[in-house]
Amino acid sequence: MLSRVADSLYWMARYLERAEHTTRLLDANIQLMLEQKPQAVERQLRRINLSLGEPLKLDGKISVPALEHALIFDPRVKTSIISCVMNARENARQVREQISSEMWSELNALYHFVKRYDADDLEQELPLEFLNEVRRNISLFKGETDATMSHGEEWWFLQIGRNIERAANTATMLKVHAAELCGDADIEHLELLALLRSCNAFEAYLKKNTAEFSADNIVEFLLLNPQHPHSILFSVRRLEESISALPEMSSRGERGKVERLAGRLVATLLYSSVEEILSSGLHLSLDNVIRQCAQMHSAIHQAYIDYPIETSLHA
Amino acid sequence: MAQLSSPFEKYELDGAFDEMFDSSGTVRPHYAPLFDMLQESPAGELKRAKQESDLIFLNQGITFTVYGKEEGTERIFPHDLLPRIVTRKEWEHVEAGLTQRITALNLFLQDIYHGGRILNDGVVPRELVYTCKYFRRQMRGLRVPKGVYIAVTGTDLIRDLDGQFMVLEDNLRVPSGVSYMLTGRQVMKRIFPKVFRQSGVMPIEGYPQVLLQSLNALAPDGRDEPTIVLLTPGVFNSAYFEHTFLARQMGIELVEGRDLTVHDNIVYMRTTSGLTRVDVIYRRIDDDFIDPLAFRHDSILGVPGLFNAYRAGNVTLANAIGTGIADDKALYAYVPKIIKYYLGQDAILPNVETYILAEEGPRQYVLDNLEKMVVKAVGESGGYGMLIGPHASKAEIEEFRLKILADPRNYVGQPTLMLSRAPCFVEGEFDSRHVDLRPYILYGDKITIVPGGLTRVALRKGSLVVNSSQGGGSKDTWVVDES
Repeated sequence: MLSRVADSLYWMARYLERAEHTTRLLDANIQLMLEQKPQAVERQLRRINLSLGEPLKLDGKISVPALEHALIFDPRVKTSIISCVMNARENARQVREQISSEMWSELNALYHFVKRYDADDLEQELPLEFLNEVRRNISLFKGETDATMSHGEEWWFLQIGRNIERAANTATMLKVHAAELCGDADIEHLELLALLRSCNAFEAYLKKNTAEFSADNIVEFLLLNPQHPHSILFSVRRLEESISALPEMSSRGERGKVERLAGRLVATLLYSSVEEILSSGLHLSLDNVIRQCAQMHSAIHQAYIDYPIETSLHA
Repeated sequence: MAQLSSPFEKYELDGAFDEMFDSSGTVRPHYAPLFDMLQESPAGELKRAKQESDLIFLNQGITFTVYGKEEGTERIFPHDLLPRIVTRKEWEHVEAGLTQRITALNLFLQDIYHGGRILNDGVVPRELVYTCKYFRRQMRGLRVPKGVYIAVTGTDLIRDLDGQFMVLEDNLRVPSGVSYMLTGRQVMKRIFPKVFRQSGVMPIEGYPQVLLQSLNALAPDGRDEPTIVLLTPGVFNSAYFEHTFLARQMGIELVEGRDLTVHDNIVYMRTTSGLTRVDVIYRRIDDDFIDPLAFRHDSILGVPGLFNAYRAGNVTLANAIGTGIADDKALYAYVPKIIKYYLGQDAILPNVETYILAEEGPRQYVLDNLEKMVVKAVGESGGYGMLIGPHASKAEIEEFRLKILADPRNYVGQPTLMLSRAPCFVEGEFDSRHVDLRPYILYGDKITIVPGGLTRVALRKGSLVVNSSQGGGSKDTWVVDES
C-alpha cells in the first residue's frame, strides 16, 4: 500500500473518532447542565473545554450556547464536529478508491447532514437530536467499514487511527477529573455520571459496579477494564494487535520499534492496580498514557509514512 | 425536405452529413436495427431508459471537473442515449489512416529530437519547430525505449459534407476521455442488449489490457517484470475519475508526485512495505509540471529528479516528454507532408485546410474573412482560446483580430466546418446534434486501435463545440459488422 494512502486512512479514522468524542461530550453534558446551578455550570463548561485535545482560548465568561456553537459549527476550532467531519471526508476523498462505496456514501451523508445544520436550528432547540444523528451516522460508517472492507492492511491502519485517538481521549477525560477522583476536590454525583456518559461507559459501569459511584471504581473501569471498548487498556490492546498485523518493513526492524512501544504501554497498564495508581498520582499515569500515544503516533509515521530513503534502500 | 417517419417527424435534415439518414431521408442500413427498436418502443420507455442511464453514471461517480467555477465543480458527464454507429468498412479506412498518421508522427518526433533530417531538407520550417512552446531541448539525443514517443494518442476526426472522415487535430500529450468510452459502453449494454446483439458491435473492453501491454512493452531494457504506475496530478484534476478508473482497470497503483522519490537516478514509490522501484510511468501530468528541477520549478505536482532518471534510461515515461511539438496546431498543417516524407505515402485521412497565420498571405486572407473562420490558439486544447467566426459577436472578432496581429505564430485559421450530425435523445424528443469522433491509438510493440472511440456531442443545438468543458457530451460509438 502507498504510504500516502495509509496516512489518509489513519487520519480519516482519527478524525471520525474525534468527531464522535466531541459529540458524546456535548451530548452527555448538555443534559447535565440543564439541572445544574450557574456556578457548577461554569465549572463544567471549563471541564468540557479542557477535555478537548486542544482547548479553546477562553477569555472571561463562557456560556453554554457559545461553547455549543464553537464545538458544533466553528471550522476554526479543530475539535469541532464540523472540522472533524470535513477533515475525515477530505482524507477519504484522497483515497476514495481504497475504501468501499458504502463507507464513502455514509461519510458523504454525514458531511452533508452536518453542513445543513445551522445556527438557527441551534437557537430553536437543544441540539440533542442533531448529536444523536451524528453519532448514528458515525456508527453506520464504522459498521460499513467492518462489513464491506477487506480486513487487510488498509483496515488495520483505520483501527490504529481510531484506537490511538480513543485511548488519548479517554485519558484526557480522566485527567480533567483527576483532582476530584483523587479526593482533592469535590465532585457531584451528576458530574461523575457525565464523565461516564462521555466515555460511552455509563450502562456498562452500572452492570459491573451497580449505581454506587466511587472514584476507585470509575478510574479502574475507564483505565483498566479489559472488556469495555472505551477503556484505555482495551484501546491500547487493540492498538497492539493492529500494529502486529502491519507488514514488516524491509528487514529494518521498524515494526519492532512500534510494537515495543505498544507492548510496553499494555504491560504497564496490565500490571498496575488502581490503588497504586491513585496513591502514586493519577495525573502521572494519565500523562504517561498520553505521552506514549504521541510516541506511537510518531513511531508509526516514521516507520511507514515518512521514513528516510536511505534506511529503506539496499536492506 | 424529406419527411421522416415516426418517431422522427420533427427531426431536421439539412446541409450537414447525417449519421443515421441519407439525404433522401432513408435510414442507412447499419442504423436499421436501432431505428426499428426506436419505432417500436413507446416514448415513455426511452425516457425511463435515459433516467436509468443517468442514474448509473451518477452512482458510479462518472464525473469531470470544470475549471474556473468555485461551486459545484464536479459534474456528471452528459451521456446521450443513442449510439453513434459506424460501419466496419468505414472503420477499416479510419484505422489504416490513423495507423499511418501515428507512425509518421512518431518518426517525426524521433527525427526532430535527433538528426532533424526533415528540417535540413526544408520540409518543415525550422522556426516552426523551435518556436513551439512544446519543443523540449532537453530531449535532444535522448533515446526512448523502442523509439516510441507516443504510447497513447487521441485523434479527433470529423466528417465533411460528403461523409468523408478528416482529421481535426491530434492529441499526443495526455489525451483523456477513454474512461467515458468504456463506461458508456457498459451502460449501453445494460440498456439496449437486444439492438446491441442484432447490430454485431465490435468489442472495446480490451482497452485497459492493451494499454497495459503497450506500457509493458516500453519498459526499460532488462526490466522484465516492470512495475507500472499511473501518475495523476490528484483529486482536483478534471480527469481524476479517469485516472482512478484506468488504474483500477489495469490493476496498477495510482500515484501522485509526492508518492514518488528519486534516488541515484532510480524512481521509487513510497509504500508501507518500503520503497518499491518504478519502471514505467503512465503519466497524466503535462511536461511542464513533471519535474520541478527540469521544467517549471514552481510545480508541486511533479517529482524532483524524475527527468534525470528518465535521461538515464531507468524509467519510461508514457507519453515521452516533448510530444506536444507534433500536435501543435500550426505544425498540423504539415502532417500530410510529414507522412509523405517518412513513409512515401499520401495521407489516407485528409487534413482540414489550415492557414498558418505567421505567413503573410494566409494571415491577410484570414483577417479579411474572420467572420467565416475558426481561429485557434496553437497550444490550447479543450476548446479554450478559440474563435468561431459565424457564432461570434463583432466585439469578439475584433478582440481576436488584435490578438492575431500581436502574436501571429500563436494562431491558425480554418474554414468553419459543418460537422456531421447524429440523432440525440434530448428532453424526450429526437433532435440532431453535431458530433466528432476521438479514437484512441495505443503504441507499444505495435499500433492497436480499439474499434470505435469517444463520440463527442455538442449538446447545445447548432453548436460546433464538443469539448466537455464547453457543454459537450458523449455517445457510445459502435463499429458494426454489416455482413
